[in-house]
Amino acid sequence: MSETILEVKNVTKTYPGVVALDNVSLEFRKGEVHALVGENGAGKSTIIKCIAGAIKADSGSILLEGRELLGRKLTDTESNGVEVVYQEFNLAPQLSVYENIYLGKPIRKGPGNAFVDKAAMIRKTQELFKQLGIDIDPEARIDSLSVAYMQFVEIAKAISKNAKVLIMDEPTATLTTTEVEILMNNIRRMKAEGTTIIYVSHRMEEIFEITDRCSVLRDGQYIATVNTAETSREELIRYMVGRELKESFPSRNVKIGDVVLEVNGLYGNGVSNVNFKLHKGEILGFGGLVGAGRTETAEMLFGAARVERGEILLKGRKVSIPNPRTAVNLGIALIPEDRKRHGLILGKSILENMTLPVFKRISKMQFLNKSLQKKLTDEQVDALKIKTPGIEQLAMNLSGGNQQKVVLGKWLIAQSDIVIFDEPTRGIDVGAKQEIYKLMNNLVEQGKSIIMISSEMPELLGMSDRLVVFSEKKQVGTLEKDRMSQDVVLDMASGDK
Amino acid sequence: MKSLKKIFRGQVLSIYIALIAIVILFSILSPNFRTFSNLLTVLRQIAGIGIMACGMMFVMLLGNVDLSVGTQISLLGIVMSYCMVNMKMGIFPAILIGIVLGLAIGLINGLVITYCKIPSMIATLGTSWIFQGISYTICNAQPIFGFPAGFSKLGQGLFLGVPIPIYLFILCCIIASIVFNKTAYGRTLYAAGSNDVAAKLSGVNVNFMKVSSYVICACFSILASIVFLSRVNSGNASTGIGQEMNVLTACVLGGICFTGGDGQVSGTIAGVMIIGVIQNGLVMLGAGQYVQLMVKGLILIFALSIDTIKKAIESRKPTTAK
Repeated sequence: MSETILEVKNVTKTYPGVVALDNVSLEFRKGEVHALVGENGAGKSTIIKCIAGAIKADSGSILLEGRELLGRKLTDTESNGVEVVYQEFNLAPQLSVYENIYLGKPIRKGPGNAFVDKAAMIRKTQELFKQLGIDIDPEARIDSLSVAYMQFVEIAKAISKNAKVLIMDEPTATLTTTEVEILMNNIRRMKAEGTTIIYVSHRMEEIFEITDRCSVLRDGQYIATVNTAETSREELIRYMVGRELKESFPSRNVKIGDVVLEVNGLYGNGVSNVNFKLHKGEILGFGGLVGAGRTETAEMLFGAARVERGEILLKGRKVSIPNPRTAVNLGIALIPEDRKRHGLILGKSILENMTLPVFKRISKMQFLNKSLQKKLTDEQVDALKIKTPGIEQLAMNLSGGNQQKVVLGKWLIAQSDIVIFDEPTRGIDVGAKQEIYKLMNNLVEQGKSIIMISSEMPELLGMSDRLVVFSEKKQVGTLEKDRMSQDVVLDMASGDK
Repeated sequence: MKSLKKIFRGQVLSIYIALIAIVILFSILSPNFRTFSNLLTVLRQIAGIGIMACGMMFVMLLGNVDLSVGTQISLLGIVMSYCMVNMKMGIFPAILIGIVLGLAIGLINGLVITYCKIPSMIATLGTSWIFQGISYTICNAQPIFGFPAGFSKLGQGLFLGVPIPIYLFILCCIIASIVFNKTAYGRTLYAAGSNDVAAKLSGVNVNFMKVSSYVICACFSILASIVFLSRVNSGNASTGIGQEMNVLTACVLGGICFTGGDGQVSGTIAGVMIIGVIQNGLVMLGAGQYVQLMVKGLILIFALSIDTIKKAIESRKPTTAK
């Protein structure tokens, strides 16, 4: 148990303008589950990529059972016994499950090993899945699987290579509760077999459930390693943020007004029978598991998906929202979950990102009023306290929290009345989360209304005035503030009724 | 001073340096190259491609491409010739018909790409064959000549000692530059080209942008086809064949990102000039059309690799700098 298998020594990695890793040293033991935690931008992903050989560290050394891993090619690592399950999937969507498991290294047969042994690969894949306790058809195409199953294929692929060290980067982000349990069982089994697992996660519950030790990174620096059993959630968060921070939600003082949005019997986008009312100054939470129909409903409200049946009433008037452009004109805004791909134009400046929806409004005869454009952006950058050297800064150079503020600022400039937040604090560090909550409060205090989709229970319960719960693509209920509790929501969301 | 810096930043600066180097090289190798009359010839030759390149930029900024611009100018030229010669129309009615046809061509390209969801490279390859086929059918593969007097003035005439097409090219560059940098349409073009999903979710009508970009591209083709037609003073169905590759190469050389969202008119101008100078210089050195093709092919591939090469150098920097 105390034997060291992987050692990271004084690794430094710099990117232009940023020190991603500053002289970091870590030590991983054989057969342990070792959590790697830290806020976004702490350097977790960078250190994983260095260990995996996906990027080169500038200096330092990485030793696997005493052998230097730095400076070798990516293909060597795999045979060396380090496997990574990345957050982004590295699967070939058009190929079948078994082909993905053996991608690049098919089982061969025949003269000169010229042919692939399909039967053997399918059989071994089946064995692998049986061992994992999941039921996936090895011959199914990857793109026919749900995201959670893709995650399991990734995990199976990594396990199939008999890694000595298995690194998992946020493996549960796309999994439901039952699936997480399956994963946890597998981690325990692999640990018993002597595999070392490096577990990167934001979810504290999981870290306390499964890990033996826990290393904390902050701003590219190594902070501490603790035995999980001897620490507490508060202590870990303190290490991560470097200061005491209670997970709490700022209070607000809002008088909830009239109904601004009413949805009656809405069908479409795979979701059926959604009914709710949103009031002025209200934060309406959308709860449920990933894929329960929350985002799908939001997409219909924003015109990003087609409504099949049912009506949407905006301030009592029936509206049809065929495309996002109409939604924007009606004062509805969406802050998407995947802000890098759907919320921002990463290669463009804060200025252009924030004023994109109002280009027409701030131009005369097509000519942009650049000083007005600048003024509007400056106002929001100040109001939202976006940390940036200037409004010409490219969106890609901002931190997650600041990026989210840019997306929000865009809709504030557009003067939207109803703002839909899809996972408002996903991938945002603890400190910036509080700021986002405060900004949401400011919005409703100004008489705007918010629909908030969230998978984080404390956030959902702490921020919402009322809650609409979804399960299996259906609305299963609406909860008033006094009935909202973790047990009730989970009970409704799991759909066991 | 600051705006001058902006124009010449990054790749644009290096492309101008390359241009100067190429000019110096040809001047040393060929005495005929460095004459004033040859300079005018080069300028006259690049004007047509330059005008087309301005149009191509609109399409490329959205991450698309229009490979039919070459046969567009063939078809437009043939139709205008046919109107003037076979139907005895005046210059302006013929041009008017050309304009209407050009707009229709752009609209067809735009609609096919946007609503049939065909990759633009394939779709415009398809439409380019259609345009070429129609051109040959109209003129029966014969050149059409005998235009009304004065038509050749536009392509061959001089104003203040400079060929008129050059003024048109400069005008196009100014218009394109203003549209790209100052107007809501232009900035939306960059945004939608850089990330179409995010733009759509910000309320941009991305489909409209796509269709309109092809129509605008065709507008520049109309002007270019008039310039080509009046310079040669005869309509020929093969006029435009291969021009699309010159235009594409010029744009890519000038730093117009093939995936959209990035690029400036100043870069395209340099790209156009490089193509013109190389074409002309090779002729001066006695190299035939086939050698030109090989050289241009190499340049296109090189231009497309610039990004990759740049990234490779950048990724190596931190480790070697130690």
